[in-house]
Amino acid sequence: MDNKDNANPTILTASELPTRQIKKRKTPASADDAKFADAVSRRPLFLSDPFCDVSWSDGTESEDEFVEEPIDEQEIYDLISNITDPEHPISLGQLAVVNLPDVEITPPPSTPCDPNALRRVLVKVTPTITHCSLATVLGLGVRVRLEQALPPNYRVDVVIKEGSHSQDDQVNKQLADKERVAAALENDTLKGVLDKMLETCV
Amino acid sequence: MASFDDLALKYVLSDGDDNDSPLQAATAIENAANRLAVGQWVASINRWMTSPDDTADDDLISRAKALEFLARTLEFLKRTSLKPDQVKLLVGFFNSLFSSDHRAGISASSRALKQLASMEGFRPSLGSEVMMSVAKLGDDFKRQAPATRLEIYDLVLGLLNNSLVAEDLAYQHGSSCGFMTALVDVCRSERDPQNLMKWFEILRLFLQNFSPAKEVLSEVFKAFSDYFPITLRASVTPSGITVDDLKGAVRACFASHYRIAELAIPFLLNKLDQGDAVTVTIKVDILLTLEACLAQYEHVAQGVVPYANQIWASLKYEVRNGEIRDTIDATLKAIATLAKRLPEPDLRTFFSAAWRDLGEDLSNATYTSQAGQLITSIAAASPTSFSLVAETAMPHITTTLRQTKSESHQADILALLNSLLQVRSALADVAGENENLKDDLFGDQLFEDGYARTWDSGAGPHVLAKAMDGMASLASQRTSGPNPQLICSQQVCEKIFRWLALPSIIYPLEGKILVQNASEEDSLAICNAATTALVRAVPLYPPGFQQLVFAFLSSIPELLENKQADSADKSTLLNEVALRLARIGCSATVRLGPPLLNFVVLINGLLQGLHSLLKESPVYWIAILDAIHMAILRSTDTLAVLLTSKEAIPIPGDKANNDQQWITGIEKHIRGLARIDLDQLGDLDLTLRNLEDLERDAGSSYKQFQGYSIHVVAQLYRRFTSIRPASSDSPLMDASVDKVIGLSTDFRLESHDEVQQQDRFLYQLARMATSVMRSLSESAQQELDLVLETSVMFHGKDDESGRAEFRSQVSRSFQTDSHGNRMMFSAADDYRTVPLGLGILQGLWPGTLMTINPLWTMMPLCEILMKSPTQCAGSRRIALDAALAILSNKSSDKHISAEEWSSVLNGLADGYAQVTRGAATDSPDVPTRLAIFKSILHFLAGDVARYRPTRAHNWLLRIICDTAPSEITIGRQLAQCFGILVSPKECLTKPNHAHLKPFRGQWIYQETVRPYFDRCLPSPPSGTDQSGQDDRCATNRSVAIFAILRHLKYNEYSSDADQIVRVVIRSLATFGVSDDIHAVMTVLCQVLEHEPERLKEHLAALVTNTMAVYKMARNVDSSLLISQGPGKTTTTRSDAGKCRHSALTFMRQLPGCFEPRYLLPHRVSVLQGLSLACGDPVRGVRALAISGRKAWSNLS
Repeated sequence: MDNKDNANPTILTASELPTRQIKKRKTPASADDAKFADAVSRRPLFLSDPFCDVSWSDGTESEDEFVEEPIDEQEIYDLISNITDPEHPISLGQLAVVNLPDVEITPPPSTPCDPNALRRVLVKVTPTITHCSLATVLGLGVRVRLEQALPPNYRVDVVIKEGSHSQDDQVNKQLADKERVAAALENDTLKGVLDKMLETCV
Repeated sequence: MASFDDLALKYVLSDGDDNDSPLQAATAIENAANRLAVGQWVASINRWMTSPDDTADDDLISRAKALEFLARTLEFLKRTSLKPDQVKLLVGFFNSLFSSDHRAGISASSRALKQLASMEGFRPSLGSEVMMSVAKLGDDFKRQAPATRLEIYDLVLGLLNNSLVAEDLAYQHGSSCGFMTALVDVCRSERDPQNLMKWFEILRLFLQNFSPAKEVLSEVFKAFSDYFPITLRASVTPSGITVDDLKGAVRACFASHYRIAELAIPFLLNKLDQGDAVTVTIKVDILLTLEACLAQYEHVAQGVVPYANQIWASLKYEVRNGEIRDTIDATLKAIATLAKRLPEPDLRTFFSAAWRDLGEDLSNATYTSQAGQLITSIAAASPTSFSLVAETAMPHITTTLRQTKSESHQADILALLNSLLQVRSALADVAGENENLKDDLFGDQLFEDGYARTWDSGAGPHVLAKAMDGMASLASQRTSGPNPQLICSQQVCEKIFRWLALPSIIYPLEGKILVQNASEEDSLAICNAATTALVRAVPLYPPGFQQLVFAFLSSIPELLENKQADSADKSTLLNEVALRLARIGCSATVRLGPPLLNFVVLINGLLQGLHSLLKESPVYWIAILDAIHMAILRSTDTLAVLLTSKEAIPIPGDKANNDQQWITGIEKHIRGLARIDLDQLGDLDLTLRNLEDLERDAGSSYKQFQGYSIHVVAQLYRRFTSIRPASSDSPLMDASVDKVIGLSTDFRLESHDEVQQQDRFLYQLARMATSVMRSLSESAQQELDLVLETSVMFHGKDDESGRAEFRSQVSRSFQTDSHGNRMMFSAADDYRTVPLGLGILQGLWPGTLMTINPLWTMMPLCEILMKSPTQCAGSRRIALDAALAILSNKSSDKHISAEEWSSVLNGLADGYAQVTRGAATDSPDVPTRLAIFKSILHFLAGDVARYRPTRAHNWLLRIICDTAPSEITIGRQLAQCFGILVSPKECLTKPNHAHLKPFRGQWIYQETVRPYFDRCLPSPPSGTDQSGQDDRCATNRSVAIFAILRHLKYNEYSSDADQIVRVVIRSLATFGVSDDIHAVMTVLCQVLEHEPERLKEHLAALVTNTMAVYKMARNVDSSLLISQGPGKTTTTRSDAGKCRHSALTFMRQLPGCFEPRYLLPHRVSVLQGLSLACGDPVRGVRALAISGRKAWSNLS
């Protein structure tokens, strides 16, 4: 792919990408601090025994390790933002091809409902330029990744964001056509490109 | 004795290396009475030498072998064995082979000649002959095998290294050096790495030791420069030589002598200027070679000076337009070396030429940073170059800083200024008294013109960070010359510290920020920059640190008054700032002054802070106490580093350490220290004066600080405990003592939360005591009578408040009654002071505990713990359990007799009888039974860590292992507790001087796990086992086994892995959703990690059962809590989450451990399960499911 559609795309740095807000906890200022901090403020080991039920309310204990959190837009974004662009060795998140506000889950994750109820994930993809010939591949990549990473009760829809591509109707039609998607995945060349794109997904 | 002919024949016919024949020949020659022997020896190979023109391969091989016989014989000959004429004849013979026998003779001849050249009879003039005959090889040289060529190089190298031969060569050949030109012709196309190393060595030696004519010089230069830049192709048979070795050898040739400077430097610069054609590695090689030349050419006027401008013209672009860090670093190194080598007038000329470029670049924002790097590298070369650079550059730098509007330009200029200040400090340390480092340019004026202006200009965070870094360097600048003084005035230094304290100490406490509208990250960055700057400046300007501590203390009231934040947030803030202060003050010792100065100032200040907060919530106490602990640890660490670098660290166990004066009475030496137990805040001025008088060597400082730490711990113990008359709710500790230790009046009983925080404070204090006490030697611990302190909490020791009476009462009771010295844990205040006693006990050496009567310490303890209904619960009980574990671990056999030990065990056995009393009406309730059982296990945990193999000793352990899991009502809960035997415990660790035997894991496994495998599976009654094993007992037994195994290392139980795997499979199906499953999965993952082979046969069962466990745990989540019989064990969401996590961890690891063919049969069902697991309610588990799904779907 020597003739790139967009040879010079705008790239966001890692710090500009949306991330989950990590709960505020005491973080030592340096590695040097950590060496001592562990000895000073750790909960005494004799109180950490599995059979010890004494509470230690200093907020440093990670009791929330197994806290229940529904799949939310940020998680969907995290799943797809590290897919590599087929043209550049840069992630879709950094190229702003996928954006957090363009991920939508219905019914919203905040509403409590049966865990096995059907949910729909809609991702709007923004190609870097309006005539991008790889828009379908991008959409397909996002779709494959989500289908591989979400449970069976999630329906995935990938569309091109309105007005971001000159032929968005056609591309959307291709992406929504299950048979064409299945046929595309049978194609070895296309499969190779997709595998390469998904290599960076953890 | 065999004749030479026979020996030669034997050698020629031998297959491998025959050392025997040459050795015999050498002995024969040495023992021979006449000179004929040498002739006979040479003649012995005649039969193979007759037809040198014959080309038959067999003849060639035998001829080579025959010649080798001669060469090997020479190796065994003494250096004095041959007469000069014999040597000459032999040299002639072997020389002739270079022209006559190129196929068979070269290797042996080279070897022989090398030996001959080392003989005493070797005349130096023969060297030239050898050299010339080697040259006769001509084109046949390259046809020789690499090993043969290596022999030749060794021969030549040997000759050149021989100074007499070298002198003769120089004399005979003059400046034309004919032998070398001939050699260069012959060896021109060498490619073998090993040979090249030798060849370059030859060329280097030649260049260093001979004075060749220009033509020869250029010929030789060409011989090695043709290889530059050298690379090495990967080879199937690596020679052991790396590309760096080769680069080094070529570099040594370039740098060998200034005579080749006129060839080498233009050559290198020319290569460098080829532009894009040169890769980074090559560029770095060129630059490093150039640097080596500049550093090593002896005659600076001829080798360096003429090329200075040329070098500058080429190299400046490497930095100015450079992008690759390695290239830039190498260039800066070369320029620094150049500046270092140039003498004064030439340096001035060089810098004024360079400044024309640099001055211009400084004013241009695009190139400022690069110009700054170049200026710094020149300035750092020597004090002379620094003063030259400073004189020219400083006015320009300050003007540019004033004029520029761009923030990045400002930041770059400040970075340059900071580098120059750091360079100046470094040079000031090494410069002689007569060096001038331009003091006047780095004083108050620079502060006003540079930093103060930037600070006031409302610059952004990035610029501010640079300015703070620079101000810290500026405050610590000292004058050059004799008696260095601070350059900046006191007012300026104070101002600098006040400014640096704002973002790091004062504003965080007062809830303000330095730069309005700055983001949280920016504020944090400014704060970190200020802290880093202070860490550097404080050791050099101690008054600044006192200012910081004062600022900290005076900001605390502001923090408390803040109505917007709750006390948890405020205490976190207080803790952060106090820890920061500890980092600033304790990372290094004071440079010129008492080493302890800053440490004492800080801890004293923190104690004052703690005192002022005593009316507030305990969360604030904890915040300050943490910082005191951190300060003690950091300071000890800093002092220990000094110790290791200057003298041997005192071994903590050293009994001969008599220097206890610091440890027992620091207050006599340092007066005016804070004593918050007496509500005295101390007199800092007096303390500072006293510190000035203390010895300052590393060893004394270390001990002084240990003494100070004990003083701090002791006063905190006294402050937070009190002595009061015994009453009904606080029973006597001992019949002969009428008072007890309880908590002090600082502890107010308010809300449950408050009490919890108070307890946390007590634990932290105990932890600090452990840190301090364990660092003492055994003799110091005994001197301090720490055993007594566990009972009296330092009361009555160096205080004048009349509390001494209690101390002496306790001490007297120990001495007078028959039970001797012991420990007493006070029951007052619901045993809340117990953790404090544990804090001291935990850090004691077993030797220190020898002074107590273990029986009369353990018995009362067991009595408290075995009592039903229990009086002591929760965390205090666990502290008592830990104390019991320590006592059982550290009491030595010499110290407690078998009978005494048995009586302790009997006491515990009685307690165990209560546990197993089952459904009897008077049996204690379940929580009490479990608590008693855990206490017994703690005692055993201490004991088994230093196991004794006698059966008589371990009967209690055996009874418990045999019976506890089969107990009818609470067997499962008891089984779960078995982990206590081996779980990691702070009190049983090496730093706390526990007695840990290396094979304890194996021993425990043999005793508590191995004998019980057959009881892990249900069985009908049989001959040996009348009752058989029912399902419940088998399950409980498995729970006990996994509770232990999860804490053991794999190699400790690997021999029985097969049996364990069988129990695992049953347990997965029977344990239900609980923490026990987590233990099983931990063990299973260990097996998978170390010996996956063992699981191969069971894959189907393991996969099915693990996925079933996952499914069950997932369902639990929906239906929430499931009760599991009596006691506490209810499965919580968190337990279920843990189960799912460990199940998926195992599934995730499988594809990496087995070939796909073993897993493919399960792929579809596993993928189905994993796809459902992708919807797990816990995010971490979902992530595992996704990566597992990927791994399983890739199987094919």
